[in-house]
Order: sequence, then C-alpha cells, then structure tokens
Amino acid sequence: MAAGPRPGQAQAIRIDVQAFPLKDALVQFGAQESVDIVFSERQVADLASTCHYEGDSVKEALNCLLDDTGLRAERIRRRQYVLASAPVASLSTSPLRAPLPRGLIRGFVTDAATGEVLPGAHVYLPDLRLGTTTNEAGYFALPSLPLRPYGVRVSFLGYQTQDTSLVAGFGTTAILLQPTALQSGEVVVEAAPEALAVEPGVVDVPMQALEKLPAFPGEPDLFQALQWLPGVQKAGEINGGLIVRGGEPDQNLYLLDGAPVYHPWHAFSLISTFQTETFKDIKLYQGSFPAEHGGRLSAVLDAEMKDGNRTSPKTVAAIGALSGRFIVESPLTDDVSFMLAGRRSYFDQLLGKNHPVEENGIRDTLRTGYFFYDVNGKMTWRSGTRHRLSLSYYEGRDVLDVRLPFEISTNINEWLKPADLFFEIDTRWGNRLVSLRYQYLYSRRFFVTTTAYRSSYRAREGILIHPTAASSIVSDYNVRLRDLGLKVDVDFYPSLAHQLRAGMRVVQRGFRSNLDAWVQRSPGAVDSLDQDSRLEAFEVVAYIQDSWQPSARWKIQPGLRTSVFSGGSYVQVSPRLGVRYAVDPERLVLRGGAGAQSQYLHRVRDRFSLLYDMVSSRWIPTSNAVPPSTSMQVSAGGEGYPLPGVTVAFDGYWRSSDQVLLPRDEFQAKDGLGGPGIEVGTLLGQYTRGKARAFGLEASARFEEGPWQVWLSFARGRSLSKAPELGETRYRPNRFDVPRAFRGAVSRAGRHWSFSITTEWRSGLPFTAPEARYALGDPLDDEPTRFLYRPSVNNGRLPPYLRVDVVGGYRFEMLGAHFLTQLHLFNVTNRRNVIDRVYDPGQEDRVHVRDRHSLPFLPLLEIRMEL
Amino acid sequence: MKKARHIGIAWALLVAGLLLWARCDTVVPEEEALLVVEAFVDADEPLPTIRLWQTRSLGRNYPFDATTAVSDAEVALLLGATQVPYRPLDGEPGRYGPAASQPVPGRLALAFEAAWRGQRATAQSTVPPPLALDSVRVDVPDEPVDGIILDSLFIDPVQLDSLQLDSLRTGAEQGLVYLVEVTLWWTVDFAEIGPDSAYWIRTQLKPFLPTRPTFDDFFLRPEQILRERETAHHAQGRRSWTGVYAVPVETRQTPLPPHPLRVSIIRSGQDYARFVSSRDDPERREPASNVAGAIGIFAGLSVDSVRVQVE
Repeated sequence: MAAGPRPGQAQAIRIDVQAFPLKDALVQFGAQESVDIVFSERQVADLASTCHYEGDSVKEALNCLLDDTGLRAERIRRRQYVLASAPVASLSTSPLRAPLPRGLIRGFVTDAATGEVLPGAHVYLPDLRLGTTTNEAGYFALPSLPLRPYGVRVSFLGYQTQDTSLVAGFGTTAILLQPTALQSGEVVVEAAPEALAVEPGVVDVPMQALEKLPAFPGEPDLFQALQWLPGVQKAGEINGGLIVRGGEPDQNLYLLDGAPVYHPWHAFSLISTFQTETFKDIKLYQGSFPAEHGGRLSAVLDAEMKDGNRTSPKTVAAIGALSGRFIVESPLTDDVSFMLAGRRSYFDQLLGKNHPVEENGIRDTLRTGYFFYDVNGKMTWRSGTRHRLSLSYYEGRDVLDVRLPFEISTNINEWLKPADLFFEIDTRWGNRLVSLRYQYLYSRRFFVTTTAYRSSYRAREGILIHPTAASSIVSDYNVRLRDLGLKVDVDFYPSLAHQLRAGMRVVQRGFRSNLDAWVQRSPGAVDSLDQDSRLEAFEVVAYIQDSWQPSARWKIQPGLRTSVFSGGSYVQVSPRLGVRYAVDPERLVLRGGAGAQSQYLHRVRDRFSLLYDMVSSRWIPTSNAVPPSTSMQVSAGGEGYPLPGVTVAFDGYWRSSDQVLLPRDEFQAKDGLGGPGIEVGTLLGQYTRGKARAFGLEASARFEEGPWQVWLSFARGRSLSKAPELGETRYRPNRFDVPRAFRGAVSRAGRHWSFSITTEWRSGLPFTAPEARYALGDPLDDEPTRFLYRPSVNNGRLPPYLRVDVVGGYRFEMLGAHFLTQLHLFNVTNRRNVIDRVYDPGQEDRVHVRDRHSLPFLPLLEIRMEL
Repeated sequence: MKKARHIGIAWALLVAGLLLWARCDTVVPEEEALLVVEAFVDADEPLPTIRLWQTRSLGRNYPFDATTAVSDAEVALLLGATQVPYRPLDGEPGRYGPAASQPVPGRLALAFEAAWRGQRATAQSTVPPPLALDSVRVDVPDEPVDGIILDSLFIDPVQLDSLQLDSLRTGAEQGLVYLVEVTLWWTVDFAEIGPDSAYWIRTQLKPFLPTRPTFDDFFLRPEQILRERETAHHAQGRRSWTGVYAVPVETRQTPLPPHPLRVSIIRSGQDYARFVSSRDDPERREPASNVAGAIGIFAGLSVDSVRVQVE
C-alpha cells in the first residue's frame, strides 16, 4: 500500500493488497492518509481485504479496501469515517452507488432517582470523539450517523457517568443517570477519568459539592455557594450584591426558569432568594456568554427549578439560624409531577411582632416585625416524549414593620411602654414571577421551546417619625418594575458537526415610582414632595448560534445577537464566539471566548436622602440622554485532570466597558433627611458616564478521594474605572476591586459524621486614604476647620481579610426520617477583619484612625429532615 | 508519553505564572506640602484679605499658626482687567491684603493667582449681585415640647457590625425643647436676576446658647443650601426661607433662655455651593476645590447677616 502526493497534483492514493488482514489495512491506511477510521474489533475480526486502487478519493479507496466484507465507510466529518454494515442488496454491487441510510442517536437524559430531566448533560461518543449537550428539556440528538451501534458516554455533574451502547436510527432513548451522593451519605467517586465536560463561556455550578461547604448564616444558599468559584464574591463580608469578575452587582442577570428576577435578595442582601435544593440545574455565564444570553455586562445566572420527583414523593424540612423551610415533590400521575418549596424566617415569631403596652392609662402597640418568605413551585406535564408543559411560580417578600421609641436597648423592659416620640418603618419588597414553558419535539431534528412569563418587582418604603411632639415626618415611596416576556428558542440538528440554536425574545417593561413625602420640622416649617414617574420600554432580541465540531478536538461556537430597544431607539449587534480545543479529551481541554454585550437597564438611586430609597433597587431604561452600557470581553482558559482525582480549571479574562454610570460624587453618602427627589433626570444628575475595565486570572483545583474533598480557588484580577467627564484621565480601582483572593476547603463526608474547614483570604477592599491635612475657613465660621487631603479615589487598601469557618454535621435516622444536624462555626479564630477605616482630622494633634471590624465568632445551627 | 510531558510542562508554567503575578499594591503618602487657598470676595464690600495655608503630613500636628500658614507666596487678584497685587500682612501669618482697597461691584469677573515654591494656583469666579435681608421673624412657642435629645441618632455602625447587641442602646433620651422658627426675607432684583436665578443661597441660624444643644439637627433645619429659584417666592420679588433650631430646657415650666441669634444669608455661584455642601463631614471627605494647581476655594459671594436677641 502506498500513497503520496505527486508533484503538482492532489493527494494520490495507491493501494494494492491481496488477502490482507482488514484491520491492519485500515490502521495502515488511516495512518498514511491522516484519516480517523472508526470501527470496532468485532466488526473487522477475521476479515481480509483484496483491493487494487489508484486515485485521489479517500472514500473510494476505503470502500475498495472494504469490498466484499459486508462493510462500508461513511464520512462523518472532515477526515473521519465510520464503518457500517452495507445493505444486503448492495453487497454484490458496487457499494459506491447507493448511500447508506443514516439515522440519529437521540434521547432524553434524566435523573434515575427522581425522573428529573437533566439539562446540560454531556453525551459523548468516544469512538468518534464528538458529543453534544442536552437542552433545557434534557433532549439531545446526534444526527447523520450510519446505522450501527455506538458506544455512548453520558456524564453530568453530581451523577455517575454512564457508558452505554445506542443504535443510530433506533428511536428516542431515555438515559438514566444515578446521583453520586447516595442516601447514606457516602460519596461515590468515579474511578476512571471521564471526558472533560467543558463548554465555552459557561460554568456548570457543582452545587452538590458546594453545598457541603460552610455558608453564612448556616443555610443552603446559592449565592453563598457561588463564592467558591474563583472570580465570584459578595460586595460585603456577609451581605451585598454579587460581584462577578470585577463587575458591578447590577451587571448580573438572574434568571429563574427563563424569567428575570430583579432583586434576588432577602434580609438586606444577607441571603439570596434562591434555595439551592429547589434547583436541578444552575449555570453561570461569565462575560463571554453564548448568543442566547445577554442584557447584562458581567454575568448571567440561569437557574432551573426542579420538575418534581416522578418516581416517589419526597419531603425535606429544615430549620436553620434564620429560617425554616420545606420542599415537597411528588408525582401526581404518570405524566404530571410537582415541586413546592417554601421558606420563612422566624425571628419575628421568637421576639413577637406586636407588643401591646400600657402605662398610666395610655395604651399603645409597639411593633418589632421583620420577616421574609419565599414560595416557589413548579408543575410539569409530559405527554409522551414530544410534549412537555411546565408552569413555574415564584414569590418572595421581605417585610419590615416596626414601631419603636427612640430609646431602645437590649433591655426590652426599659423601653417597652407607650411612646409619644417614636418612629415607624413599614418597608416591604419582593419579586413575583409566573413562567409558562412549552417544549415541543417537533421532529427528530427540531426542538422548540416557548416561554411566556410575567416577572415583577415591587418595593414600598413607608416611614413615620415623631422626633418631637410638634414635628413629624411621613414618607411613602413605591417602586414597581414589571416584565412581560415571550421567548422562543429552536434547536436544530442539521448534521453531526453542526447544532444550531436560534431564538427571539420580546419583552415589554413597565417602570413606575412614586414618592409622597411630608416633613414638618416645626408647625411653621413644612416641606412636601409628591412625585410620580412612569416609563415603558420594549426590547426585541433575535439570535442565532452554531455549535460546530469540525473535528474531534475542536468545537467552535459562533453566534450573533441583535437587540432593539425602544428607549432611545437603540440597535445593538453583539457578535459572540466560543472555542473549545481538546488537547487530550480526558486530561486537558482549552477554551476561549469573545463577545460584545449591551445593557439597557441602569440601576440608580438617590444618593442623598435617608427618608426614602433605602432598600429599593430602582431600575431605569436607557433613553436618548442615557445610552446603553456596552462591553467587550475576551477570555481563555481550560480544565483538566492533571492527576487522578484532581480537577483543575483556569481562566483569564479581559473586559472593557463603556457608558457605565458612575457616581458623580464618590464621597456622597446618604446622610440627610431629604433629597432632591426621585425623578429620573434628578437621579441621573448624580451620576456620570464612565468607562470600566476588568481583567484577571482565575484558577481552581478540586481533589476528591473517597469521602475526602479538597477545594482550592485563587483569583488575581483588577477592576478599574474612570469618569472622563470628571477629569479623570487614568483608571482607578473600583470599590470592589480585589487584586487577590484565595479560598480553600477540606471536607470529609462519612456515613454519619461530616466536617468541613474552610478559609478565605483576600486583599482588603480599596478605600480612599488621606495623604495630608490642611485647614480652610468659611465666611460664617469663627475659626477654620481641619480637613484631610485625599487626592484620588480608592488610592488605599484595607488590611487583608482572613477568615476560617468550620462545619460539623451528623446524619442519623429516626422515626423513618433522615436527619442532618449541622453546626456552623463562623470565624472560629474570632479574627476582627477591618472592613472600613475612618480618619478623624481631629484638632491640633495627630490624625486619629478608627477601624470598622467584621463579624466576630458566631455558632449557627441547622437541622434538616428528609422523608 | 511525549504529549503527557508537554501537558505537564503546561501545568507547571501555569502555576509559575500565577505565582509571579501575585504582587503587592502600595500607597505612596504625599510628602510635599501643597498650597491651600482660602479667598472669599464679598459684593459691594472692600477687597478682602486672603488666607493661604499649606498641607502637612498626617503624623504631624496642625496648629493654626505660622507653621501651617504660607506667608511667602506671590499673590494677585484680577478684577476684570485690573490686577491688584496682594502683600503679606504683618503679624498675621498666612494672611494677605490688597495693595489698594476698593469696593467690588456685583457681577464682576474675578481671577486669582498665587505662586509658591514652584506651585502656581489659579482660580476664577464671579461676584453675584449684592443681596440684603429685608426682615427676620422669630417665632418662639409658648412652651417647650417633648423631643428626642441625643448626640447621634444612629446606632453606631461599628458596633452593630460586630453584633455587640449591648450597643443597640442609641443614647437617645426624651427631653424638652423649644422649637424656634426663624423666617427671613430678601428681595430679588428681577431685572437683574430674574425668576430663574442660577445662583445658590446658603442660609444659617446660629444661636449662641449657654450650653451646647443636644437635639440632633437631623430633624431640624438650622442651615440649608439650595438654589435661589427653589426658595419660597412672594409678591414683588420677595423670597423667604424658614429654618428651625431647638433650645433644650429642663422643665416644662422653664422659659426660653434668652440668647443671641445670628441669621446669615449668602448668595453665591455653584463653586461655593459645592464647597459648602461638601465641608460638613471632614472625616469622610474634603470640601470641593475650585483652585487649579492647588486646593481650596476662591469664590465671589454676597453675604448679609443680622444678629437678633431671642427672648
């Protein structure tokens, strides 16, 4: 057998074999022609080839080798062929005349224990070294395969990888994956390495592993768990928004069953509204998201609620440091299942909400009510394999209702009496969404998902203050934001190398805010403010994206997203590109991405008034005066198994943003009773347009061996911004710029006992440090005042932050129920980290420095019961 | 085997790169003293004295004497096109007086220049039209009312963050206060300023009480900075503003302690308004500067002030 290019001609192939072992002939031919020929030992055993061929067609040469063997070569992709049985009718004739019939390997991947479909599961054909991922309905399709059996490997985070054999063209298959965490608490670890399930631009959040790590305040919380991913942190030590790769909290989009949640926080941003146990799949897209996602500059969190257990009823009840919660899921019929979950804080029940008091014949009712709750449920109906309808509902709310005298202390008996002078706060905020989703397998190659939703955010801040018998302050501030949306996504599987996804979104948004404030400082000094703001905006989005696997090593995901926004009539075209290259599919996969993003919503608030706008997020749409924020991000990284049991991931990114809103006065803090009001123009006057830049490198490593798990993550990055309109010519650190962050955890999960010890070390947050002192007078002052000189914003950095937490858990069974008791020890070393620093310019002597410290050691207990 | 070695080298390079990239941030403290300018030019008044300070590092004392004053600078004021040199005043470190005094008319464009140790400070401003208080009315209630007496209304955030629950004690106590209302009037020259005045008004009530008032100003209004067009307007171009301050007393029968009260009003441009509204929290921020090449304030103003006895 010989081959080689003749000068000036295409690749020439010459074969001349007589009764040559077919297997050897194929191997030799594949090596000489650099083609990948996929076959099984059983197919070619005991077969011999006799062939004389001269030409330049690889396929013809291959089929010459296969002549009279009952086999034929079918091209799958460029330079890749699969051997399949030739039709009986064509055995005696030339196999080149009639193409072999082809078919799909298709099916649904589901949880073997609950029947939940598993979106994002990886379906891989090791022989062909190609694969795909399941869509939101757990559906996958690998088309255009010659009809024959194929080895298929199916994997998903938190589940045992399954190797099976499927026949192309056979029909829709259900693949059941077993969860790795068994009921007894033992952890199953894969002995053999599996193909790395790496997709460009997306992180499949490994919730089962993250949930075992300590989280404040000792309750399972998605946003706490996400902080274990490098590049993700919270704005504050325990509260505040989520910062992803140096972005601002309002640059993240939170999706719950396809619908946006605008304020996903409870308890003043202490915990999120996302109960981790109610989700079957959580994906975090960071920066280079695929074309189907957009609308924010920094990240998209896409959480999918469980459909409900299809096999048997299941109940979970738990009580933690802040709240009690439950989850019920069950099949109703063979086709219908549901999940219902609820959570409510109980602090108000312990302290009491209303306190009737009486003194000297005067009666009053003081109030100390604060609680939050959320309810989410989902009902799913399936009709065969082609139709699937689900209805999701979520409602979460926080209510702060207090009426207290000013003289409060921990000695409740001192002040629990009728009060002439008091303050009342009636503040409530929350989200509500309804989402209806219909998933339709139109044909084997077309899958259509249609989602209609209504999502709303409402906040009300009511204040009544009586600081003197002759003065009173009343304020009623309301914020409403409502989305009505329709989304259609189509998955099309035209060939084995291409998988297309296209879709449209139409969203109508309504924004409304109104303020009614009345301030009587004395009988003759009265101010009032009555303002109302209503805005509406439409957004239409269309996108198309291809997942192209040109060869076994490469996967390229080009996409284009176009959006039109009515506020200001903006049109944005956002190209996206994701690339994955398998250096070794089982040891190292590299990924990269680039994309443009645009954001049509800005979050602003009045930066002066304490009377209103304390907790509410106020979103406003872009307009002629305020263009959309835009960004461009490139990222590159990879994931691999350098050693048995060790998973390592690393990524670098660079993002440049424009037209972001920055505070015009960084030092302005809410410290006055009144403010300029809530009108959009007034609020925007407190901001200026700016540029932002973020770049960094992230790495994480996870080691699993038996019951042991070690988790390490490191992030090095910068988050900078500048406001040219304010004369800033150089980038300066953002308020959440953290150059270095390290997290480490060691945990062991045994049959009964489990423990985790974790540590977090990171650079201190930036702060504006004074560099000198000076004095200035004023025409109305008797003597000058001493000030501090701060030449630039965020020029200093607080001391590094270090904390160690420990969690111990005991699992047992009692009265037929499974119990898990966990004791969280927050900040076991009681290290008082500095989280803010204030300089007192003082009098004549030296400047005094006062530090604000973080939380001390706190023990927190949670008890969980599962039926 | 060869590929495995390459992959191993790639991992090693990655780890080494990570370690190399981890380095420290530092803040370089300001060592060189900067010139600080304090200059206010009052409409219809003689040219004022100007005061120059210098910055000092945080670790050193800052007395108001010759050690922090700048007495060797070259200073000049430009009144329109006329330059007026300023000279250091004997016995008053840091203060400079005009070589020749003259009244400054309203609407005059001003410029400031100073040179010191290689630093050159410049600033511009405009003198607003002069303003004068027409009348002041003080309303004193017949008897005191219950009020919250406290040093700081807010829970100390330092302690709250540390969950030291004892600190929930706010230090608030109920006491008795007289709420004194003061209304002042002035007249706007419509021909010159018009109803949409672009000027800012600063008002201030400064009672001289025997003891320091402990009622928190948060709920009162002894001072305000606002656009002149946003003040209450009346017939014939008159405008008014009402402020409130509190006088604590011991018993319900205690009469209002007689005390002097200074009522002041300032008309200014935006630079001074920004300066004043940003100088009330020295711990958090310094006042906004309008001086290029240095820090400080140079502003044309119109100031009027009366002192009344409240009984």
